[in-house]
Formats: sequence, structure tokens, C-alpha cells
Amino acid sequence: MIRIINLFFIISFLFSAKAYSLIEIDITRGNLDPLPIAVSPLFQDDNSKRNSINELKIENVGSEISLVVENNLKISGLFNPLSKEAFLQKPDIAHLKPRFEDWALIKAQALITGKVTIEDKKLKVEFRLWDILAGREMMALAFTTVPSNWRRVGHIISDKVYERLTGEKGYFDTRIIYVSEEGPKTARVKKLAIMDQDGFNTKYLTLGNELVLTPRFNPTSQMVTYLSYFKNLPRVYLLDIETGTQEVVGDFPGMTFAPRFSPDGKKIIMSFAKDGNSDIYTMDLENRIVERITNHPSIDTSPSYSPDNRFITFNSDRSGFQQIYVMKSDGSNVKRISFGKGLYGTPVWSPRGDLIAFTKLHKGKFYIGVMRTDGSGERLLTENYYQEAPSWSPNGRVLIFYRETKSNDKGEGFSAKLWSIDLTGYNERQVQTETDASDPSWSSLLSN
Amino acid sequence: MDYSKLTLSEEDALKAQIFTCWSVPIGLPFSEDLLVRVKLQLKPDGSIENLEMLDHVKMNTPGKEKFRTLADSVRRAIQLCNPLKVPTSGYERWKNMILNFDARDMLGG
Repeated sequence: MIRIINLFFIISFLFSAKAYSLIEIDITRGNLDPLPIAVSPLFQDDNSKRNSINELKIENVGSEISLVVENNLKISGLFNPLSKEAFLQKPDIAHLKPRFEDWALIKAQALITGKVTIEDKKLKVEFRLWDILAGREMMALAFTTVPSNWRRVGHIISDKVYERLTGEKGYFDTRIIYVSEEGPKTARVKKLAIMDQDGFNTKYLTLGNELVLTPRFNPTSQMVTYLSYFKNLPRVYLLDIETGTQEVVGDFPGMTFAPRFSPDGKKIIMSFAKDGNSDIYTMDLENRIVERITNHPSIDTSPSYSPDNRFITFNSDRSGFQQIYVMKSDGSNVKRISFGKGLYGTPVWSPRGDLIAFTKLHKGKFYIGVMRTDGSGERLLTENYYQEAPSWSPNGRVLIFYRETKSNDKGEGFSAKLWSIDLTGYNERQVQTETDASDPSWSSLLSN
Repeated sequence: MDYSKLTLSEEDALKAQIFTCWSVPIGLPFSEDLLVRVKLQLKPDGSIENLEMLDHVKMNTPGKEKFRTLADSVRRAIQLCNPLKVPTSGYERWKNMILNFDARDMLGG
């Protein structure tokens, strides 16, 4: 009898457990639209506005900073800044305590508020990032700088917000160095130019007397390396952006080109051509020791280090056609990684380390693409008549490159412009420059 | 028939709601950490009685900022979808549920 009662209880338990077992649902899809975000103008009181006019000739620098932030977030393709006309709460109140229901009403999921003061020739900024749906503060920061840095303040806020909401570092407080081009195609004047990543604050670093090509940032300092001409030979140069000092790199009895810094900034890697053969060399910037990395009777060029300094990618025609290769940084263990149709060139290792960007030429079209570092997973992001020279944003999410348009027989209609595209391949944008532009190179984050 | 589970159409209806509410942080690089599990306790009208992040310890672990970003997006999705449109009957079946927000396929390398 007892056994029967026990059995009854066990069966009852099993049935009841089954009836109320916890259900699990897998959510494997979501909404890939950009995140709706409200960027409230940073509040500035009347006294500060007067100082703003005196110092910067700008009446409301708080509004201007918020426009910088809004533009950055928009061009990232990951955020949808909402129209300010829809805002129900004024900036001064919103900064103290947002009425979350007002912001939820206009479909904002995140909100940026802040306050700016200019006093004693100092710009003080505080900003907050709010989660509207959770009704809580996600981040609050304050800093002080000189008033003329107000655009950088906007970039730094953008980076902080981007990092908090996406989980990866931003890329807004950065600069682009490029070759500025003017004049007809047959007589172009080319200068080195540098600007903020959003196209503002352009400065010209050379006068245009000599041809300049392929400028590249040092990831750790304010130095750039580029190609120019010395005694009618293309040679690799070093330029200190702060001081304007420049020098020829090394004493090579021939042509040097395609320079790039190692990720630690201590070496330059480049091609050296002699007697019709070009190989890859490095030069240590401290002791100036030159080391030969490849030794092959083919054209080896466009070298780029992996972010851990352990590998180098480059292009070579050693297979008969230009393809991409990877080797250890001492030159050993060379492996071809590109096997698709067409020619591959200008490989650049991503700062994240997971991808290599490249230019591909196939059936008369140029493509910018990415592949994994073993050559698998090739993805072509954009196609055009002529485009090349991709350079990574410091977070490895966006590529900048240049694109030329076709000219007629007289050389008319030609233009060269900078473009950017992110890894989704959907967010393609022209980058504004004062003149025509080519050969862009993206700096590291200026503030970390 | 297993009365402890949702029917396929009930499960599909719940999923469809949540898909539209979940703004996936598409900037996140692919990793195996792109799974956030949430336990919900619902009221009979579908509104949320209690929300428990099952991996909440990870949210404040240094080096797990990307997980925190994903978990934040999941929390926003649930708040945006609150109250859920739930089946009209069988409250005991769905008053507690676990949602596995898995972004690995969407953000796959």
C-alpha cells in the first residue's frame, strides 16, 4: 500500500513539473535600424554666451558642440539622431533631470544632455548619457580645456557615447592625412594635407613644389611617413607634424616607396627597388638599422604589419599575377592568401587584427574589400570605376579610401574624392575635403 | 499535446514582437559572448512583473563591456515591448519564461 501511495506522489510530481516547466524562447533576430538618439543642445547660460562670443565669435558654443556630436553619430550609421524640432524638454531642465516619458514619446532610446561654461578663458563641459527606456543615467563626465578646442570636445563626447552604446572604441577624435590635389589631370599640384575626420580644420603641410604620395600616420606619435622626390628619385620621408621637421629615411641607392609604420611606431616598413626588382625592408627609427625582409625576384610591395607586430601582409606578383601574401615579421613562412579572380593589392591589416582590407581589380572594375587573415571570407564592400588605398579607422570598423572619376579625352571631368564605408558595406559616404583628395590615412585616437 | 509549452504560433507571435523591439548594437564585433539570457515573470495582462538578467555578474565585470552593451540593448528591448501581447489563455504556462537573446548569427564574422 505504501509503495502505491509513493508511486502516486511521484507520478503527480512529474505531471505537475511538466505542466509548469519554464519555457525558453530563442531570440535570434532583431531590429538592425540605427539606434534613435536625442542630442539635446548643451546648455549655456547668458554670461557664458557673452564669453563665448568674445572668445570664439560663436554665440552658442553648446549648440555647436551638440551639432558636432550629432553629425558624428549620424555618419557612423549606427545611430539615428532625432530632429531637435521634436524635443519637448528644454536643454537646461533636461540636463538636470530628463522627463523620460517626454523623450520616450518621440521614440528616443538614448539621450545626451550637457552644460557648457566659458570662464577665465577655460571651456568647462559636463555631459550625461541617459537610457530613456530604463529611466537611468548611463554615463556622466566633465572636463576642462581651452575654448578653441570646442570641436574636439564634440568628438570626445561622441567617442564616449559611441563606446558606451556599442561596446567598442570610437573613432571621432581622429585626423585624416591625405594628398590634396588641384589643377588639370596632366599638371596636378599635390600637397600633404591634414584635417579632422569630419573634414574640418584642414591644414596644408607641404607647399606643392614636389610630388607627394602615400602619407601614413605613426600610430603612436605625431609623425607621418610619405613618399616624395629627392634628386629626382622617389624616396620615403619622415615628417613631424608638430614641428614641421622632415627628413629622408635611410640612405638607399635607389627608389624607396610604399612606407608604413609598425604598430609600435618604432620601425618603418617599405619597398626598396633596385635593378627592376623590389623587396621589402624595415628601418629601425632609433638605431637606423635596415633589415631586408623579402628576397625574391618579383615585385614585393605595400607591406602592412599585423597589430601585434608578429606578421606582415604585402602584395607580390611572384605567382605571375599580383596577389596578397602573409608572412612572419622576420620574412619567413610566406603564404599566399588571395585566390579569387582578378588582381589584389594594397593590403592593410585591421587594427582589430581580424581582417585584411585590400583593393581588387577584376574585369576593369576596382573593388574595396576585406578578407580574414588566412584569406577566407572575402567580402567586396564597394565597386567603382577607379578606387583604391583603403585605410582603417582606429577601431577597425570603417575604411577610408579614394575614388577617381573618368575624364574625357581632354582630361576634363576628372576628380578624386575621399570616401568611407563601414564593414556592413551599406554605410558609404563621401568625406568632405576642401580640394580633390587621394591617398588617405587615418590616425589613432588623439585622446585615449 | 504538451500543455506545458507554448504552441508554435504562440511562440512565433511572441518572437515577432520582440524582434521589432530589439535594436541590436550592430557595431559589436563577433564573439561567443553575444548571448544574453533573461528570466521574465509576467502578469496575466503580459506586463512585466520581474526581470532578471541571468548573467548579471558579467555586466559589471571589467573586460566585459561588450556584453554589458548587448545586455543593455536587451533590457531596452524588453522595456520597449512591455506589455507583451501574450496568449489569452494558459497563464500558468507562460507566466515565467527565459528569453535567450542570441546575436551571434546577426553579427557573425
